[in-house]
Amino acid sequence: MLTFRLKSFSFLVISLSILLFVLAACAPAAPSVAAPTPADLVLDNSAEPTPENPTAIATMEPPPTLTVMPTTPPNVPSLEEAEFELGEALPKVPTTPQESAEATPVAVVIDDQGYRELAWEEMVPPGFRPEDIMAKYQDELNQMQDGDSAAMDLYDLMQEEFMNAPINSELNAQKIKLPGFIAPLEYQDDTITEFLLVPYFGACIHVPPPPANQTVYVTAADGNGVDVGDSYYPVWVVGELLAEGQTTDIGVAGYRIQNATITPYDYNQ
Amino acid sequence: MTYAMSDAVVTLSDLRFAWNKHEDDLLYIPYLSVERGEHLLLRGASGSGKTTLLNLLTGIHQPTSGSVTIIGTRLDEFNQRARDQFRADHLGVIFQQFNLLPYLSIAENVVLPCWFSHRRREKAGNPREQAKQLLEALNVPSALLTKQAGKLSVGQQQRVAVARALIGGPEIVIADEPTSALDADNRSRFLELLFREADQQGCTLIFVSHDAHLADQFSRVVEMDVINEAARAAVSRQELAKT
Amino acid sequence: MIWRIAFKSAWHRRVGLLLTIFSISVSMFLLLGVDKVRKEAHNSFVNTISQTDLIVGARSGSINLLLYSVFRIGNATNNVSWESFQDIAALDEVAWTVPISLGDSHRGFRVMGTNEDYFQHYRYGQDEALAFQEGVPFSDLYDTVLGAEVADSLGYVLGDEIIISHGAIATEFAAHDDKPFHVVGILERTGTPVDRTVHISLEGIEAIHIDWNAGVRMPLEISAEQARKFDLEPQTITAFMLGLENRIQTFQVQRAINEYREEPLQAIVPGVTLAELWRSIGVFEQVLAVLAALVLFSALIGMLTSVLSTLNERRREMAVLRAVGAHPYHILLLFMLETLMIVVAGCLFGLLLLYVGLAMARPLLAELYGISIALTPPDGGQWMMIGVAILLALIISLIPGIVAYRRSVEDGLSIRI
Repeated sequence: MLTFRLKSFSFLVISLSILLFVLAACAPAAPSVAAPTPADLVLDNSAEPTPENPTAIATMEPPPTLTVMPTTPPNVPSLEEAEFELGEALPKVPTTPQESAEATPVAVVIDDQGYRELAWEEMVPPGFRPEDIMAKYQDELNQMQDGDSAAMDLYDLMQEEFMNAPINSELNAQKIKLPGFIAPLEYQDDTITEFLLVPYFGACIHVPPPPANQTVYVTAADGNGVDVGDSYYPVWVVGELLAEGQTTDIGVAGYRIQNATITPYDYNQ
Repeated sequence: MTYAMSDAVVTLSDLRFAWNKHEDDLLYIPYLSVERGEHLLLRGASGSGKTTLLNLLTGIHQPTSGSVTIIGTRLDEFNQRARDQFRADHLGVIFQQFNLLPYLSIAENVVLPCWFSHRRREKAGNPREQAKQLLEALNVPSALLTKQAGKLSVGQQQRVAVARALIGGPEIVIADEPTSALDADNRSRFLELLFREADQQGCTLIFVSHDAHLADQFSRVVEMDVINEAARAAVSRQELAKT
Repeated sequence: MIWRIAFKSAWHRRVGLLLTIFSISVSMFLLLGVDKVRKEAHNSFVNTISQTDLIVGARSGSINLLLYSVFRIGNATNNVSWESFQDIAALDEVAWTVPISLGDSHRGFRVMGTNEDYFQHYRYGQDEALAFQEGVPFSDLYDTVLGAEVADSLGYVLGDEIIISHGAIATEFAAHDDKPFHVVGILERTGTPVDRTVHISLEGIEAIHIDWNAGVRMPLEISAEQARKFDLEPQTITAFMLGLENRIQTFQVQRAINEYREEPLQAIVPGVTLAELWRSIGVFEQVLAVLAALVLFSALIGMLTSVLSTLNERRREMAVLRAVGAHPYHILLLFMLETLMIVVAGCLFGLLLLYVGLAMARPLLAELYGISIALTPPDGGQWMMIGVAILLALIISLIPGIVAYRRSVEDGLSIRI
């Protein structure tokens, strides 16, 4: 005695149930599938290193091309899709090209809690910025003949200077907001509590590592860790930046943020 | 129609029923009245409309038009829920067979109406006690009280059904062919017990059956095809169609 | 009052319902089991290693290196030479190192060669160090320290002697039975693969293999005491862990090791590789979860079928109820309550199956995969699954309920058989 109306009601109930089920099944399950895996990513052509010297790290030379070089103009490329390519960085805080002496950017974005957006370029101290280094060696480069093999050596030298540049201690104790990608270090259950923050995607896979002044050691505030499923996506890290030039009894050298608040990076801001 | 209605527990007036507007009436009763305490036999063959009438009397269905007045209440004006509650409060029903819920004990089956009607529960005082008494009076051995329905004979089951219909003193008991499944001996004994207990409780009994032999046991017999004009009309339509 | 009727009605038909309840139990067992094992596996893995900046091994695959070095799952494809290890350990940036050597076993438990640095620097869970139940780290050549599970399940105490077998499987001809080891220490339980490991010194590993060549014992046998005379500095190790002076230099050091010219090596950041591991099995986990959900769904459909098939026989029952004054919605409620009882019974029994099953599977999972399952009560997510299952069952019970409702309205008191 199932009338047509009752049949369609049953069909509706069953389809609703299937939907509810699949949703319920997917929700508590493992990290989302949508993130890119290393295999799909486009390999940057700079991934083939040929350092001249073997062994010791002290004499290690960085690979020929350095993708951290801000060669892009202040107009940033748009990010329509969520896929990141190796070495791809986030759109930068709009700044005008600066003089070497100037430490702070012209455009300063400060949020309602007094945290300002920091640009990765600022973390390189004045005098060591790419344009500074270029300027330093400009004359030498100009003096060379076309096709001179010494040009490569000179370039390697410049790279090394950049890679080994110190940190910008003027940024110490500043309340900042920094966007970047996560390399997890410590976990608690499925939550990442400590990680290294870098400017571009895939820093630990095939591309050259960022220099020490482009790496931040972040410790999340209690309950503020990142779920391992979200660790492939960029985030905003908000907190007080500690910039120690030297290793002391109480701390190691480099950039650190402790008790950080971490939020997903929304590029529609 | 002005008749003395002072002691009428049931009054049907201009009652019509059809499944929907486009069909012919299944039932058309211009008038029927039942006095308090009567033992009424509604006799009719199958198809004479007695099932439909039962459904209307018990408030299962609503008439297409006309009135059903039971204990001064216009049942046809109630909504489904109110009718169900009314039935629970004032009516007892006995079927031809399979009256009992197989998963409840005999005692629980008997007190069942009290679960659905506060009025009857209160009237019964202690439902369990009254159940025991009724069953005893109906010759159902008390050892069977905790047993399940399947363990009883048909005759015993029917008598349990009577107890259930009577518990809490409903005003009217409606019985639909309750003796058809019984053999001749049990039949007369059953009727005896039913009448006695109904009178004891002051109930009006409306008994529906096709069996004409029962007629002499009742104070009043009404033939369905006499009062149901719709049945007569259907018969004449058929005759007309043949010619 | 309707509850009582519903319960007695269901109880009356309990034999037929048992199958339905059982099928729901099995599906809940599956659904909850998959979720629990997944979460416990994650926890086990995550809690196994802490405060280690890099793990270095022969170049194979990053996940492979993590699995065999830390979780003792799988095997290394190649070894790391002692020279390379020393070179890297000597770097200024490196604060400490712990070399490890795998390959032997003792009665099903893996044997790991290492040095005292292991007991000092290895951390697990939330930066917890290894502690001793009793005894001390090894000092003599033939000393061994046992993980808690090894000692418990094999009943070893300090001073016992054990024989180590070559390879992962114990066989008589592969036993180093001429060189027994003495138990000098037993570690506290950690809930990690450490519990299932037998620890000896790197020199010890060299000693037992001194008269073996490529996995075969040589005719020229060298006794345990004679072995001491040899230079037992290891030639190769399987892998090593290291900690840096400054974690910020992790990537630079990793890069340097990856490009080390003397030998093909790879360095992994354990945290990063762990995230990669979760990624790659994440899809599999989701598929499992969806499958389990579909199993539950089919169990509920089965329940629906069996209820619908009994509808006809129950029309009499419905008529009786209507006669005593039940409203049609009482009929609907009756069906929903019966379904509620069935599905709740199914869930409870399913939980029982789950915990019994987990208790039985625990030792196996620990042995094969190093996963320790805690028999904790269901967490929020799992209660929600149970809640959704019940809700779904109730929604599905509306179908027979409404059919019965309408029938009872149409039938009235006439019981058409």
